Amino acid sequence: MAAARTKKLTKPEVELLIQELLQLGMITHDALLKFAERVNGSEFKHPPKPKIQAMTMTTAKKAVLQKFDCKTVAELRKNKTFTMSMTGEDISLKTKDDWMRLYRRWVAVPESERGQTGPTCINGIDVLENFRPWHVFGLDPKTATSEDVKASFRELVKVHHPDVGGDARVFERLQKMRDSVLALMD
Amino acid sequence: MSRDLLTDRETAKVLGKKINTLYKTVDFFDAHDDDEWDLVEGEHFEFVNASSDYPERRFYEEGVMALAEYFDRNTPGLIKLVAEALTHRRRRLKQMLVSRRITQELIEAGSLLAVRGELGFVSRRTCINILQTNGRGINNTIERLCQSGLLEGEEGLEIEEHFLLSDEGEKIWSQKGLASMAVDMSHNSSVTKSRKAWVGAVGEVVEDCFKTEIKRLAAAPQRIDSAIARAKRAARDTCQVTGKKKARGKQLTLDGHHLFDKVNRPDLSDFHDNILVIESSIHSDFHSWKGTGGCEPKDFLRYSSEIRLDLFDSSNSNAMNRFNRLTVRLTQLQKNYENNHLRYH
Repeated sequence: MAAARTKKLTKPEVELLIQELLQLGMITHDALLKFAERVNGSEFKHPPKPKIQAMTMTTAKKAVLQKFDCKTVAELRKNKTFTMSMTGEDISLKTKDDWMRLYRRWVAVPESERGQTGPTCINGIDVLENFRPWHVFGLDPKTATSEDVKASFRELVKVHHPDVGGDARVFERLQKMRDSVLALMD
Repeated sequence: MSRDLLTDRETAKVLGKKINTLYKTVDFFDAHDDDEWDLVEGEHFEFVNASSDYPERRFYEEGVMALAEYFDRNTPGLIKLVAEALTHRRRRLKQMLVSRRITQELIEAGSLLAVRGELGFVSRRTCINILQTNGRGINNTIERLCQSGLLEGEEGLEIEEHFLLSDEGEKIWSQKGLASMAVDMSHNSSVTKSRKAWVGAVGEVVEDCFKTEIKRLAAAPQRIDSAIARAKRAARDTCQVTGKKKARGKQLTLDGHHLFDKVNRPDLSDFHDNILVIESSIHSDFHSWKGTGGCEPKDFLRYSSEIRLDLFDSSNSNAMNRFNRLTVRLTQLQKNYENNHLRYH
């Protein structure tokens, strides 16, 4: 893209551009935009998207507590269904990371973590942090068949297989997602 | 399923009383027929060996509850003072009852079907019994959970974490899977308050039951070996059938035979009374006679009293005493633990 104009145009220069525009006969949207860009000296930029604010620890905590019908963190710690769900894992419930992990697992993918790009992201979410097979495969769980799952997996593997330069961890997660979904469909 | 009986020790433990206090109370109940306190045989309890001088009793849950009421009513002054302790006791009692059911369920279902680290996996049927739901309820839950894994709601179910496929291709579920089911049920199904409370109580004990079971399975081989070694020492290295003793220059190998086989009754696999010390030749002869499948004390009783009566010399009083002792032992063991009556550690 050309650099923005540093020197302002003089009146005769602008009048020359207007003459060129008028010579076109019919003034269209594109012609006007082109004229404006010549005056500007470069293409116009798109305004940046408004940033979605990152989720706070309090919001994540509140949503997780609600999921387990608990009012306080102490109550959640004692909740055996919660303990059971965390078998074999350590979680201190003290850091924001802990609560975000639980939020992702039990509530949803946070708005601020959707639409991401990167080598570990598929369909806008980080597959190493989220186990959301239906979203990753881009399928509707109500209508998808096992063939759809396999086809979608094959497409993704073309990009994410380590042999074609993909991340081995992502490939492994994809295999897990495919195996889980297919096993549940039986 | 037959109504379940609690041993006297277990009853005393549930009630938080000493066993002597329990029997004193029971004797008091029996001695006074004119009061409201009465325990009815068959309804509240059963005698284990009614003909003995001090017959042991086993209590139905109704009997335990009747005794619990008695103890509560006879300490009116204390009730207010120890209200908190009573609540705790009731909770403990409830948890124990739930815990018993789950342990029993695990054993009836043939223990855990698979273990991966700290995760134990159970069948759909066991899940139904643990969560006290029915086939329809659990199907709805599983269907909802299978569809999770979009942007909103819980993450998808992960193989090896929440569930596994058994050798028969059935889905089997871990604690994580059970937790997901419990959370889903409490949010989506139209459960009543009491059902919610039940699911809560189950959650409170199921984890511990799984942990105990996994620990027990992991330690089983070593534990069984040492139990057999202990049994042999206790029998003074003597065959409890033929009376032959291991000695220098004598070719005799002894085995520890599980009267209730260890596959079907893992709870009895290291139980001293369940291990019969016998000559290896008799052991292998018994199993080839019995064939495949589990065995129980009654099988060995039949084997020793009908098939191989030649093992006992009827002209030898020692041999006959041994035969009688063995018959009593096998009969009692059979009666005490048949129909999956649990042994409590």
